[in-house]
Formats: sequence, structure tokens, C-alpha cells
Amino acid sequence: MALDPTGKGRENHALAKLLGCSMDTILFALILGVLLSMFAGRRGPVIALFLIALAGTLMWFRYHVTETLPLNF
Amino acid sequence: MPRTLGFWLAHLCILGICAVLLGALGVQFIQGEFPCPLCLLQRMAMMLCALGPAYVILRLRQGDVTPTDYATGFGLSALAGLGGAFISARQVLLHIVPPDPGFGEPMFGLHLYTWALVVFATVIGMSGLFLVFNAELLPRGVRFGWPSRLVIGLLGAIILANVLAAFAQEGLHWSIPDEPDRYQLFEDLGWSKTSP
Repeated sequence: MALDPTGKGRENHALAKLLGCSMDTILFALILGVLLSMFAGRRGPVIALFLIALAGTLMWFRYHVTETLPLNF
Repeated sequence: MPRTLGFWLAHLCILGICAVLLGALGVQFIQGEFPCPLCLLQRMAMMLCALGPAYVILRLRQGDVTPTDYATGFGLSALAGLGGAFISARQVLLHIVPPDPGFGEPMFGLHLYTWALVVFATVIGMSGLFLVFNAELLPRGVRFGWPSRLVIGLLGAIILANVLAAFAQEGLHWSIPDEPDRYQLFEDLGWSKTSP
């Protein structure tokens, strides 16, 4: 699939060790945090957390994109 | 007179996305097919799509939903749908050139990432419709009851299940490989039968 040609997926990353888990786990937990923040009923923090989670997801997607698509439009 | 159509449609949106996410968990745990990095990202985007209607429903705990709340909820869903569509379109394009067989087994004739693109396009379209008919669909005179608790609880449980599944699949590693084939956490702890 050539998403991660560096093949470093299985290496123990220093930041992953520091945070105690992987980036996907952190993002899923952040999404759970957004849902929990909705119970507080305040609009601003919900929007802020939601946008952080969405931006994090898209940046993580960008990290996985490592090559140009084999297409000619 | 209570206006409930928009209220129940919000529940239906969450249930629809929960059904897709449960299907993905079923493929992972029943068929034993490991999700790839892009599959996990599409799950995240779907959960974010479901948080829009969840916001509208949870606002009912404080009283009636205002047009601002309604627009905020479905606006957030549309943004998440757009992000998710980018991710699934990228994966569709990765496998679109023959003779690439695609990633994983197809379901009802299409691969899961193609279904995900359909879901994200539907979310964007539905969010647009909900915003256009905001005045007609704004819930009035309804309260946050047990059906709402059940639906929000189901969504929360699915997100939590994904937190645990992702942790089991990746352990203390930064990310998963392109074509994952094991639960790395169990491998690292020596609990896996396949470990050397």
C-alpha cells in the first residue's frame, strides 16, 4: 500500500513511550473527550476540542501520505 | 405542539454511523481482518461525524435547542464528513488502477473504504439538508430521555472500544504498519501465541 515506506511503524517511538500509547489511541481518546465535553453543555470548548480532534486526524492522515498517487488526470 | 422529526433524525444519523462502525469492528474481530492506518483514520472521521447530531441531542439536557446549536452540530458534521471524504478518496485512488486487487475483502461488491466514501458523501448531503430545513427540523418540546441516553451511550461505547482496540493493535508504537497482521501490544507482552 506504500503508506509508510520507512517501515518505522513498529519501532518504539520516544514520544509514544512518553505519552504511554500510540497516536491513533490518543486521537480516539481525544474524540471520546469531545463527546464527554458535550455533557458540560458549553459551546466554545466543544467546538475547540472538536476542531483539535479533526485537525489532529487530518495531520495524522498527512503523516501517512508519503508518495504521489500513480494517476494522470 | 412538540416538533420531533429533527430530534429523531439526529438519533437516526448516530445509529446509522454506529451501524457502520460496528460493522468495521465485526470485520476486525469476527473475520480477523486488521484495519490499516487509513481505515483507523476513516473510523475517527465517522465518529466525528456522529458527534454533530450528538451535540444537538445533548443540548436538550439544558432545554430547547437554539438554531445556533442546531447549525453548530450539523456544521461540525459536515466538516468531519469533508475530512473523512478526503481520506477515503485517497485510499480509493491508491487502489483504483488495475490490476490492484484492493485492500481487504469487498463487502456487498465494494471495499470498505469505498463504502466509507459513500457514508461521508451522505453525511455532507444530509448535514446540508438539515441546515437548509433548520426552521422546520429544529426540535421543540422534546426532552433528553432514555432513547437519547441509549444512543449516546452506544456511540460512547463504540468510541471506547476503538480506543482499546487501537491500543491493543499498536501498543507503545507510534503507528501501525501499512499492512498490519497482529496485535502488537500482546506480542510485546509475550501473550501472543505467534510470538517467537
